[in-house]
Amino acid sequence: MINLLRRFTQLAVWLLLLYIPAAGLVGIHFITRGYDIPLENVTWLSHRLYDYFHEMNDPASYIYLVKGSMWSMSIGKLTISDPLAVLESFLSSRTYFRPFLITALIPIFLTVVLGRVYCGWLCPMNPVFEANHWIRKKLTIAGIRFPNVSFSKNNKYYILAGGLLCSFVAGMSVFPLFYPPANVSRIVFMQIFYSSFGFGVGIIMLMLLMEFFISPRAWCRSFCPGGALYSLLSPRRLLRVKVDGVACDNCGDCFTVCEFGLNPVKASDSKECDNCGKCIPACQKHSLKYGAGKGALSNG
Amino acid sequence: MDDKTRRAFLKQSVSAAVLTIGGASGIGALLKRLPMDPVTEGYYYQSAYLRPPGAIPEEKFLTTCIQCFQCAEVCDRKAIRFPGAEAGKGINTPFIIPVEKGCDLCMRCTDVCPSGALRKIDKKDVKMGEARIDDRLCLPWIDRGYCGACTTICPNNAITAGFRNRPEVDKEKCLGCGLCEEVCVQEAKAIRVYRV
Repeated sequence: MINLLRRFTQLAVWLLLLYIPAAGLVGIHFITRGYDIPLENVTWLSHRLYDYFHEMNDPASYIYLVKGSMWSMSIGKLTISDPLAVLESFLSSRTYFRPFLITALIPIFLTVVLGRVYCGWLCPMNPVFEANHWIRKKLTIAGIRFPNVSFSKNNKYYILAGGLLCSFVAGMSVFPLFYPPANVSRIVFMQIFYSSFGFGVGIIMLMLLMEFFISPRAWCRSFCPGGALYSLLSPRRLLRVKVDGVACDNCGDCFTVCEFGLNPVKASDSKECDNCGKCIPACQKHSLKYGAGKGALSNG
Repeated sequence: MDDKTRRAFLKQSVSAAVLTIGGASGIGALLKRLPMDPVTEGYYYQSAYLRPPGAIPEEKFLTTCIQCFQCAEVCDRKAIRFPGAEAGKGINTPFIIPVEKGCDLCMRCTDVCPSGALRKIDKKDVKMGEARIDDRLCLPWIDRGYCGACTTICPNNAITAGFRNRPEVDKEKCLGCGLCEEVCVQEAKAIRVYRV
């Protein structure tokens, strides 16, 4: 059930990423109405949206309700930005621009209360990495041996600090060049809107190849600067995966499914857990549950 | 934690911190030396790259823009483009390339920009660039007839037809929107917009 819900939100995020540029093309067509952009050479999705919005009275106001990407998105009048984007822009420009700074408040609040949920539930690259990991696992079961290098989980804090310092020194945004949510949003947008994409695809491919052949889930576990920021915000979170110590028989089923390589019985109290809930249905004794605050539900 | 492991841990974290700070400052210094302006630093010496209307000064713009693409999404004319690594520091930041599409000053990009790189300003205060006429290419200037394309399209009436319909640009009134460059009938554009 939890897995299904998580897949549903991830699918919704991907549909939103595809919808926004496709609807943007339709919106341009409606506003300019045959000025110099006919509705041709656009995607199948744009044509379907065109048919749908065509009957409406004021289609542009509906089309532009949702704008942007996972890096910075505006829904109606509300703008939500990635805290990483806000921090980086604040450090590199060295100016205090309040309307931008307050756009990060909602994700920061949600992270403080719910933990690193962005990683497991909303990040558009997470299902891709998980699918990659799934193929690797299946091949390992089939008998193909891959090297399994493990990197320290502290690497991501160094990458976060280094990236912020780098953008501070250079005076430009560095994270959107490789940070997966921003990168993949840009690739999808560019592909649908301009029918082209930059070198970001190469970086995504490198990450996937590294995870496939060298170290499973290495990016999310030990290199992602966004994950590092969310981890730093989440140690006092309310929502946690908690164990019922009486029911648990230490079988170890849960830590084979954990995407972050943690032991959910003990390590869900640490700041690395992203509350994805993959371990909850994996437990055959139903001893893992979501709960509030630190500590176990009962001590066995 | 005994003394030996503590010393190893300290050594490890100090070396990692030094590596991070050194590497980040090094890469930052390298990136800082990248060409900032593709026009003046020689990349696109032939075509003008302009910032969208309402852009704050160029050095500030590069540090503030978060590359979120919302300005491109609402741009009716699809005039806002994003150059790749050839733009140096300006990679993935919005540009208007007036040879392809000029800006019609609808100002919707300034409404959506979340980061403050494009500020809400009045249409009259826009200064994206300045148009200059090349009198060796412009048809009326070389006595090849009466064209009048740029004088007709200019939204602020900054281009006036003078003697023999030869266009002249009023630099005070020119907003630098680039529509004149877009509509110029010459293949090698006789009127070009340059950043100021």
